[in-house]
Amino acid sequence: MCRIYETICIALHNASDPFVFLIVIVGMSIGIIFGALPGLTSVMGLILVLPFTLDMEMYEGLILLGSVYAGATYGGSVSAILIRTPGAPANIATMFDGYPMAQKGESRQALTISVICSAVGGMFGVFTLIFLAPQLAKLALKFGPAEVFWVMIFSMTVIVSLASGNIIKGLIAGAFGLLLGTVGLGHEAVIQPRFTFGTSYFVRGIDVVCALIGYFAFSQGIALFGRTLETELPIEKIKRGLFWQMLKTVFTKYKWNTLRSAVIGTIIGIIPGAGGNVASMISYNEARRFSGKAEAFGKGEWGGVIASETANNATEGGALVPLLTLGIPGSPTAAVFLGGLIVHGVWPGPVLFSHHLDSVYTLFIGLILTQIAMLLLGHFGARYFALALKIPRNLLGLMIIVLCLFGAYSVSNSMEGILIMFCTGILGFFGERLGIPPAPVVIGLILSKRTEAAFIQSLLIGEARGSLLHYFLSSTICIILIGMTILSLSYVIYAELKSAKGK
Amino acid sequence: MKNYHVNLILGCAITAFSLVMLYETIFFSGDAAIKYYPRANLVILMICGIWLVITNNPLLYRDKSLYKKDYRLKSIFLIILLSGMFFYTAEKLGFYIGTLLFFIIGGLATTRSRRFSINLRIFIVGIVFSFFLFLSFQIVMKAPIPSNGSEKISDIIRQLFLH
Repeated sequence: MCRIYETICIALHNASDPFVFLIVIVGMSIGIIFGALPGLTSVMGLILVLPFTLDMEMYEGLILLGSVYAGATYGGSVSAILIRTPGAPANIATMFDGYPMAQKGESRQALTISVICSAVGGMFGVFTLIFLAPQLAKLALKFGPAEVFWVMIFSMTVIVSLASGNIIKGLIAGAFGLLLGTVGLGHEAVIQPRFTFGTSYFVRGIDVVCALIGYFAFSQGIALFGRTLETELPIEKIKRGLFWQMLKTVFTKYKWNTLRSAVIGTIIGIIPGAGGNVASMISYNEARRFSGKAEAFGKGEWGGVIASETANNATEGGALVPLLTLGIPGSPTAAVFLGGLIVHGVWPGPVLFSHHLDSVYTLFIGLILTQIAMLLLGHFGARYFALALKIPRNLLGLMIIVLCLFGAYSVSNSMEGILIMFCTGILGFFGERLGIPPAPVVIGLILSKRTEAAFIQSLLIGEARGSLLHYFLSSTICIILIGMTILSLSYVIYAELKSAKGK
Repeated sequence: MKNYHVNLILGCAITAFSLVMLYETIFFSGDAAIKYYPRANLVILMICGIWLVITNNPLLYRDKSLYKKDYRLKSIFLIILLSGMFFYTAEKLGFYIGTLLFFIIGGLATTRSRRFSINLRIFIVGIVFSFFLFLSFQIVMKAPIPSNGSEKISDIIRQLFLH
C-alpha cells in the first residue's frame, strides 16, 4: 500500500512538470486538427508524432500519444457537425444529429455539447482504466509461456474482427502480417536469417514502427493526392457563450443518456476488435430507444450528439485496459500505442506494472489532464481549428510524406527503415484498393514475434515434461482463453453470415 | 477490370507467393521448431488464396460490377515516383535541403493552379516546414538525421540560444 502512495506521489510530481502541460496542449491541438480534416485519421496523427516521443521519457511520450488520440476523436466531430463529413468512422453517429443542428443555426450548441461529452466520456474511460488495469495486471503475473501463447492467439481473433466485411481478405492481411514478423533474425533459436534470400536486407527483421508509419501514414499521404472530389468547405459561424448552460443540460436532462453511453463506450473499448464507431452507433441506437421520441433523432436531437460523442471518447480508456495489462492491441490506435512503448524498449503487461509503475500512473494522470485540456481547447479553439479544413490537400500530403521520412529514419536510424516504410506504404495503398485492410497486417506483425517466442518456449517445456497437449491445455487460464478465442471467432463468423444473408 | 477478375488474380498471386515461401522454409537451418510457425502462416495464406480463386471463378461468378476509378492514378504514380526519388536522394542531399526541394517540386507538380500567389505559397510553406523540422529534429531532439553539413549551423544556433 505504501508503495502505491509513493508511486502516486512520484506520478503527481512528474505530471506537474510544465513540459507535460505543453505536451498535452500541443498533442491535443494536433489531434483536433487531424481529427477534423477528412482524409486524415487519428492513427495517422499518432504515427506522425511517434518519432517525436523518442527523445522524451516514456510517460511523456505516452501522454503525447494519448492527447493526440483524444483530440482526434473529438476533432472528428467538428467536421461531422460543420461540413457533414465525419473526420473518423467514430463520428458518423455524431453527424446524424450534429449536422441538422448546425443547419438549424445551432452549430455552437452542437460543438459545445460535443466537447463536454467527449471530455465526460474520456474521463469515465480513464477512471475505468485506473481501477481495472492494476487488477488485470496482477492476474497477468500468473501467465506462463502457454498462457501468453493463448493470449496472443486470442489477440489474433482481433485481426478477423477488424476485417469484418471480407473475412478472407482480412485473414490474408493478418497472415501476411504474421509472416512479415518472421523475416530476419527473430527468436534466439533462429541462427540464420529467414526469408532474406541471402541478402543483407532485413536481417534484423521488419521494424514494426517503420511498417506502422508506412501502412497508416505514408499510404494515406499518397491517397490524399488521388482524391477526385475537391469540394469547397463551408464553415458555419460559431457563436460565443452557452458553455455552462450546455454543461447543466448534459448533467441534468441528459444524465442517464450520458452515463449509459459512457458505460457502453468503455465496455466496447475493452473488447478487442470493436472500436469507437461500434460504440457510438450502439449508444446512439440505445439513446434513441430510451428517449421516447425516436422520430426526433436524425433531425437535430441533442441526445444523439451526446450519446455518440460520450461513447466514442469513452472507448479510449477502455482500449488501453487490454493493451497495458495483457499486451493486446485491440485496435489500430492501440497498435500505435504499443509502438510508443516498443520504441522505449518496453512490452506492456505485468512487467510494465512492476518495473514502470510510476510511468503508468503518470500516464493515468496525464490522460485526466488531457480531458481537461480538451474541454478548454475544444470550447475556446473550435473556431480556429475549423480553419484547418481550408488547408490545401497537396500541401498536407507533402507534409505527411516528409514526416514519414523523418519518422522512419529517427526510429530505425538507417535507410533500411525508410525502405521498409516506403514498401509497406505502397503495399498498404494498393492493398486497400484491392480490399485488403492495413490494420490486420500491422497487428499481425506486432504480435508475430511474441507469439512465436511463446510457441517455441511452450513447445520446449511441453516436450521436456513429456506431454505437449497437456502443457498447452493444463491451466484454467488457458481453458478460459481458448473459450474466449472460440467465442470471438464464432461471433465474427455469425455476424459475417448474417450480413451475407441480408445482402 | 471486373471485381472477380481482380480477386482471381489476387488469389493466384497469393497462392504462388505462399508456395515459393513454403519452399524457402526448407532451407531454414537450426532447431526444427523455427519452421513450424512460418509454415503455419503460409498454409493459412495459401488456403485463403485458393479460397479466393475458387470463389471468384469466372464460371461460377458473373459479377458485372467494375472497380470504381475514384482515384486519380496519374497523380498517385507521380507522387510515388517523386517520393521514391526524394527518399533515395535524401541521404546524399541532406534531409532538410531534400525536404525543401521535394516540397517545391512536389507542390508545383501536383497543384492545378498556375497562379503566382499559389506557387509562392508552396515555396514559403516549403521553407517554413523545412525550418520547423530542422528546429525539431536537429536542434531540440538532436536526432542523428543526415543533414549534409547543417550540423554546423545547428551547433551555432544551440550555442547562441540554448547555452
